[in-house]
Amino acid sequence: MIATLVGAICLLTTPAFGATDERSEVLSISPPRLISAVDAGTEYRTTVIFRNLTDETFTAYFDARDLVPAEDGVGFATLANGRTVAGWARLPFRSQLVRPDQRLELPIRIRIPADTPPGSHALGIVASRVIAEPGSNTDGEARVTVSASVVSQLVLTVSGGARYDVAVGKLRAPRLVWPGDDVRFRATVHNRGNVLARITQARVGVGAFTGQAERQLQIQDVDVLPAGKRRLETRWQERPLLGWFRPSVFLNVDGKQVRKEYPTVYVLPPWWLMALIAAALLLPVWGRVRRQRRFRRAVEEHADPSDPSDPDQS
Amino acid sequence: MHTISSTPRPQRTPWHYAQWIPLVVVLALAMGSPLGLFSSLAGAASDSGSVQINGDVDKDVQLDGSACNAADLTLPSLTAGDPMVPTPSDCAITYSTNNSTAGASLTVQEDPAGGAGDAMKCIAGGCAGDSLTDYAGADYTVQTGSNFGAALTSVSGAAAALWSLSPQTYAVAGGISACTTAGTTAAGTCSFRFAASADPIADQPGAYQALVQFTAQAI
Repeated sequence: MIATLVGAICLLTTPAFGATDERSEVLSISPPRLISAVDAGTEYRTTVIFRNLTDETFTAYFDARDLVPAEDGVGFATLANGRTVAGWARLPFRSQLVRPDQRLELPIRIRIPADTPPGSHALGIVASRVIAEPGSNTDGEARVTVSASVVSQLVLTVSGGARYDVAVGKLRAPRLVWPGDDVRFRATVHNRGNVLARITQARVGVGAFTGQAERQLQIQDVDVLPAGKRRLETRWQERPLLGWFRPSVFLNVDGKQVRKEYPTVYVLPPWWLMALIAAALLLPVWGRVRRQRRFRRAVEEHADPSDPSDPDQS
Repeated sequence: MHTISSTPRPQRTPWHYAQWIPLVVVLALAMGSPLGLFSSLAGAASDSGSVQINGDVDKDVQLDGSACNAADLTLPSLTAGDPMVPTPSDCAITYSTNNSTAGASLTVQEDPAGGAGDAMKCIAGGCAGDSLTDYAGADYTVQTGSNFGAALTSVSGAAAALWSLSPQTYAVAGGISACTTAGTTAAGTCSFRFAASADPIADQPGAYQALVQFTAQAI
């Protein structure tokens, strides 16, 4: 009886099949990044998943492109016409009609040439859709045609002669911190080696002058391609009210520790603490002056008028 | 000779002790603040706290172009030689990744096969929580060889989304603008507005298009 009742309630509260609410017009590709070790002269196989999460059937276009470090240091960039590493990849098809909610598997075959130098080589599998079709507008109009793409990144590290070389530069932090300032620690990591630098831990430690207390400020984990750079930035939250500090950036790059120090940072106190400091300095002084006055007055009141040696009486 | 031995020592009032309170507080703050003992008094936002979620979630990169459609991108009829004409409304792109990396980026590229012309320009661009510095600007000025522009091509010339495989005529990498999301699982939204003009000599009457490509990927 109870089971029937629960079943009826479930039936009533479950939306009917196909009665969807708002749908997102989303393209999805998986995995975002795949890192794998390979040997030159072999073939590497993997599968990329493309999903049509829109409510339309459309033609999806697939392509392979070279991946390079982004010029502005914020990750990877796909070269529109880069076909060096991308030329190793064989896609099963270049275009495919995909239905709503369809999950399309793309088996990718990548033949690594025998003369490939050791180190990391990257390519992107790009899935595209034309958002605004030009259509048959022959009425003299112009149109901006937009193509939207999602990229699955493949980083292949060819074995033999891996060279790890990471340098940290452009350390920037404010020297003086005023109350309410948005304080950020910045650093740039340069990958001068020939393999992908995986920064698994990146943090800024804010050492107190006592040398014992360190506040860890987390920076996101990042990957840097060979010859690439990466800007790191973190905000100093929950900072102390006052003091001076020697922040350091700590990086764990492929198991190796890298540390670099920022110049000393001085944190200035807020107004109420400034007022408190002023009060702390002035009140004892004022109290002492007051006591001295009172003492002098007491001396004067107790002075003997018949004493000739008293200079006040002369 | 005065003698003050008979003068009574002033009585310690509560005020006498109270005047040392600020000094004691300041000393306590000076000692404790660098150790982080009073950091909460500074009023800084805390990002502590975490939620642990167990389950299998596909790691992917997503792009939502539902706020960028043909109506936003259709230009009115162009008159050769006239100033640039803007598209009627913004084209907004939302992108994200749930990967464990720092987030996602959205790059905007012009069509490398479009030639060296700059008949179409991005005249406004902005990203929530980020900035775009690499577009022509609201003055619609056509700058030859500048970034983030594209030539108009005949409609019959670019029917597929695949870009030309022929060697590019100029550095597309230099023409990339990028927005980035704030971090893992955060979605970013960028809005763009375009404008175009027709060249009285190069452009014959007809239908034209300029191809722009948005690319979302993990940082």
